[in-house]
Amino acid sequence: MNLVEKYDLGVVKWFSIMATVYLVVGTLVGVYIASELAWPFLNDLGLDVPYFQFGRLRPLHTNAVIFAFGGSALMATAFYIVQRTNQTRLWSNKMAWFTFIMWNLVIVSAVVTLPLGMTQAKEYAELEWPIDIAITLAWATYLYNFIMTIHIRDRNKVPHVYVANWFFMGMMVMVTYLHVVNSLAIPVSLTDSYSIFSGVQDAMIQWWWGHNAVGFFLTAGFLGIMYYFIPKQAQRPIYSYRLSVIHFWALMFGYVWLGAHHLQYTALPDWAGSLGATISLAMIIPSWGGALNGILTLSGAWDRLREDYILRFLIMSLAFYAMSTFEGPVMSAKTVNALSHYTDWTIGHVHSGALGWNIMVAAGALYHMIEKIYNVKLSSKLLAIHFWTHTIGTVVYIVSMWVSGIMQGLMWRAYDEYGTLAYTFAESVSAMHPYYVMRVMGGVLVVLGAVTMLINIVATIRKSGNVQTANA
Amino acid sequence: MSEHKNPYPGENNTGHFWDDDQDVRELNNRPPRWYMVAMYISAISVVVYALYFPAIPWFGDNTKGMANWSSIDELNESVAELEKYRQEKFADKEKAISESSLEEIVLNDDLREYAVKTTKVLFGENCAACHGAGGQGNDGFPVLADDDWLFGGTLSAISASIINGRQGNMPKMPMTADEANTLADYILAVGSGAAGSDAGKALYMTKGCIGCHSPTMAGNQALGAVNLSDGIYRFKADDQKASVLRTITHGINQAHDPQSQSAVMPAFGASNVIDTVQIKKLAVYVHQLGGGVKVKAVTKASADPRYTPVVAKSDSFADVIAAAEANYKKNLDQGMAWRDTGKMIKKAKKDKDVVLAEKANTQAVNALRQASVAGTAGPTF
Ligand code: HEC
Ligand code: HEC
Ligand code: HEM
Ligand SMILES: [Fe+2]
Repeated sequence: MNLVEKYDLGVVKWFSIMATVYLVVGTLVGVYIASELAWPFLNDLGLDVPYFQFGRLRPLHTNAVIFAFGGSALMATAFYIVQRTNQTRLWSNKMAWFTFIMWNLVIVSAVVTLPLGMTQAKEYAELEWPIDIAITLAWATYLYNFIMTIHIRDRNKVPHVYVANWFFMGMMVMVTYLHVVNSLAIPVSLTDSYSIFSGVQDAMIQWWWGHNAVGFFLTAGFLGIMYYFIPKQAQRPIYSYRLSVIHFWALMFGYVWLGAHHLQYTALPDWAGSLGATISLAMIIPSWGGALNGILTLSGAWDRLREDYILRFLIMSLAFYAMSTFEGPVMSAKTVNALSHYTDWTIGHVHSGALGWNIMVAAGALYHMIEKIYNVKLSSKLLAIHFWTHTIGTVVYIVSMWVSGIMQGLMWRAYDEYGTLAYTFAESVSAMHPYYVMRVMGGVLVVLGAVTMLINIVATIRKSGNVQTANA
Repeated sequence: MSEHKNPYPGENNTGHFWDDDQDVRELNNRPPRWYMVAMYISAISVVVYALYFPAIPWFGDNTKGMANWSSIDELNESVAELEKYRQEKFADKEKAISESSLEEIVLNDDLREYAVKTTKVLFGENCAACHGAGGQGNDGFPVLADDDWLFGGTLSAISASIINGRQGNMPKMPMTADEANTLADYILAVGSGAAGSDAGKALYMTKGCIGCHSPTMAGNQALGAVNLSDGIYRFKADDQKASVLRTITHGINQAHDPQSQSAVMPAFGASNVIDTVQIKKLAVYVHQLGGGVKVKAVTKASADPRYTPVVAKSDSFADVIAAAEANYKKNLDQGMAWRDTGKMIKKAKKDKDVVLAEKANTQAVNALRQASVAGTAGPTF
């Protein structure tokens, strides 16, 4: 019996395709806002309207890549993995379609409301309260359906729950909790509300969510992806069961403490900042557990990397994951944070995670699923083009932001021989210009890669459709 | 499937298999030794860092940590260190500045240089947003680097501008639209060096303008009433006539008229960011940007050939325009040319106008001086 008959894959297909579309859109908006920073006239092109100014489009970009692209990728992979590793259909295919529709409605409303300036002004949680409720509905059904699917598996056939599922489940439970608490607000109208927290407590709750959007949504969930697709694509067993247990629990208990590292040297009490920094420093090794387990899974099969670009995506993502989870803890240390905070270094760090880790691992997984579900082979030439444009674009992006960020931090704190500040703020801005231009070029490469991905997937599916009709 | 049959004979797996192909499985390997060691070190480092810094909330208070560190202490210590450095090296200069008159500071090379060098960032952070990084002005915000002053270019006038702020006042002048139009044309004509229409002139003389702008149109610095005859506009606009018309028909700083031109220079005397010594330095800084009324012949030629102006050999048109072109080229090389110099040179060459050539040359020389001050801009590590 083939996969399509055995499982509910329609919703997986659509989440996969939408993820790819949102990747193109989200990175395109990213390139536009990067260009606005390099060439400010792009902020309104002389039209004197606020809708595509940086402040309006930046949240559109972050929501598009994290929640539209990242979320759709998580939903596609979760619904795929949970069925295959538990040997059962979804508990409710209808509910999965409900999740799909809700999630896409959320995205459409984000596209409308953010440029109009409707925002809760919480970073990575900008959407207003009615949309927050829609997110909660989509997410709760996703979570419930996932858990129930594991629950209804035939325990004789599948006595144990595969590790990828633990990571997904941990992520889903935590994100529900984080999203609901962070979004608690008192509505004053359909498009406006006030957070029930105030002052520095609001900031702490916001970053408790903000960090864990990274820690759970973009890390634990994506590790779930890694744990299924690397062994499948490499045709190798996971290197160590124990390691997966150890770093799973270390991540689950560690990550929730880290939010305060975003608020060092602010009104947040010192003890809270150092507590966040302390646990952050200790997160290198638990984070590396996942990278190590994935990379060692390949031992004995390294030669596969040579011709298998899908596997390359998956493995390269782990290199970036290891890099950014080393960098993050270093940036949490007080002395480093004093330099890096508020600079482009943070942006460089974010994108080594987002472009290097999240997009790469998701691309590998999406490619793998498309090949399996449609029983096709993607064009390996296009895969290679995507791999290289994306990798080079990512490196160009990260390096330009590192240089720009560290330069910025040094210029802000530089004193001259008279003991007065050596540079004005405006001078630091103009010094960053070349790096902003460089970042745009890196971003353009990433967009080109994403477009290649979309073309490859759509063209391959259409060709397979033709073959099927021809056979019929 | 069954946990007891191993489909991968000889493989040290956990005996659990997943997926349709039963090919997803895990090995029994222990994590690498270095990994576990690093894990224990991480756990220890949590304890150490938490004991070293304030980290644990404790009955309404928190542990202070062995380092006895707090962010506010860290800030105060760095500020104190900086203050100590300044005190040790420059206390005498700071004292001299606070005790000297502005004129004395300008005449004392050492003090003047100290004042200028320590004020670049002060000006950059507090004034440049409106007046431009080199005082070159922005639309609506007057140029501080030329000798065309609204309120006066003496040290005391500049200082008064900074301390008390400025808010020029021009009421809207009652007249018909036709009259306003004729008057605006007249002002623009005079500004460009032509005579202008008699009708315009008559309006200018009779509609109350002379009370503030003076019959010669030279303006009145006591009121901040601009010189209307020199063709330099303080409300510079792409459509200069529209701007002049707007000024005439809606006035300046007329709170009740939203169309009125806005011209507000904030008062820094009341600021708690800038102290009195810094205000003195700012006055000296603005004064030397290019257009301050000379206190005495104090300008020392800059040693750097990039900033040394070419002097015209004679007053002939050929020599003046050659000097203007040479100086303008240096401006371009330094990326610090003024907005109109190039156009003025072109026009002067076309009309063989020696007065305009001189004007262009003065601008180019001023820009050179400005560049010599701002020449330190840009990062150097
Ligand atoms: C918010 C914008 C703004 C800032 C900031 C500002 N200025 Fe001004 N400044 C003006 C405007 C507008 C005028 C003209 C006022 C008028 O026309 O009535 C002016 C006028 C002046 C004048 C008088 C010019 C003349 O031609 O007589 C001086 C001198 C001056 N500013 C110096 C400074 C200095 C020094 C600083 C920084 C400490 C500064 N300004 C900051 C807007 C600003
Ligand atoms: C009460 C005094 C007063 C009277 C009367 C007056 N002005 Fe003015 N005018 C000013 C002042 C002061 C300014 C500059 C204000 C500033 O920059 O803050 C000014 C500025 C202007 C400007 C702007 C020039 C530029 O550089 O952009 C024009 C044009 C002008 N006046 C024309 C006129 C005309 C024409 C009349 C007569 C119809 C007139 N003014 C009458 C005080 C006056
Ligand atoms: C253990 C792992 C990590 C730690 C300890 C960590 C730590 C940090 C620190 C200290 C900052 C800068 C805060 C500031 O000074 O403003 C930061 C920012 C950020 N990091 Fe990480 N990081 C980790 C992994 C990751 C990964 C894998 C991603 C993947 C995308 C990521 C995404 C981000 C984002 C989006 C921000 C920007 C927040 C903002 O908008 O200011 N981080 N992180
Ligand atoms: Fe974080």
